[in-house]
Amino acid sequence: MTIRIVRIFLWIAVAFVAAGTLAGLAAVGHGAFTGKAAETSLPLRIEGAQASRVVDRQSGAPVGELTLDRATLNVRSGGLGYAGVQALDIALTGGLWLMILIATIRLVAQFARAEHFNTKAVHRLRLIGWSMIALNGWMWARMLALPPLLLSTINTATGPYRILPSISQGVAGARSARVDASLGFALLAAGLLVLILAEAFRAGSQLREDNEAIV
Amino acid sequence: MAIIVNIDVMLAKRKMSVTHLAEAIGISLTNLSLLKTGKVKGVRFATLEAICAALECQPGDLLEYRPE
Repeated sequence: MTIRIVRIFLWIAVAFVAAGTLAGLAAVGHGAFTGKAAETSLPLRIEGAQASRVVDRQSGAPVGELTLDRATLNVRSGGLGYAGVQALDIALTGGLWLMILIATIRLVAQFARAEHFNTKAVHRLRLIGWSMIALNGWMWARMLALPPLLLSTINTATGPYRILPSISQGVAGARSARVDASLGFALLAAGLLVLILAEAFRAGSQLREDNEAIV
Repeated sequence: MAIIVNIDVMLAKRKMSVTHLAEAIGISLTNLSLLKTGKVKGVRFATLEAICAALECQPGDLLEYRPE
């Protein structure tokens, strides 16, 4: 019963990811062929922005300070290069998630047949683990490298800002905005755990084979 | 493998067929054939005991160490 519920959830997830990937690719493809600029949102941290004091509404007494240095910028960026990278991003992210989900579904089906310790399970666990690590790596690459590469400068009413990767240091005196990327480690940690699990299953598979060869 | 399984010798001495031995000791003909040809990684004491009982012999009559 539990396995059945898990499989239903996994198939729903597959349907959502597949639909999202296809919709994303269709939107990028449509934009590229019709010449419409692609739109994306970048979370930004703007250096050297003016800070303002937060005061109590009734008494007017200062209660804190708000740094107005964060913004979300809707960027319209045209060109086939941008559309290509965006399509690659959608395809890679969606593809890796689908790979993880489908491998998990097959693994669950295998467990339901009481086939826990065999080479197929080991291969599937390794596939899931490496896909998670690759997905985490791609997320970092995307957040750190792609936004500044795709859009190096933004213009505002008060002048241009250079856009820097989140881990870089701004140049003194230069106006810059930094991509406010939150680098997640969850998928990397999960991937490493799954790889450790795969090693345990490999040892289990070896033990089972040895046991079967004893009469 | 330096351990030689001499079940076929004992079967010939007792004039017993492999099928009959498999039935007598309660293991499949496939597993007994694998054991007879030395293609297994180990033998359980229970299996060895059953074979010895069926063939009226000692474990030493069934297994032999021959350095390679």
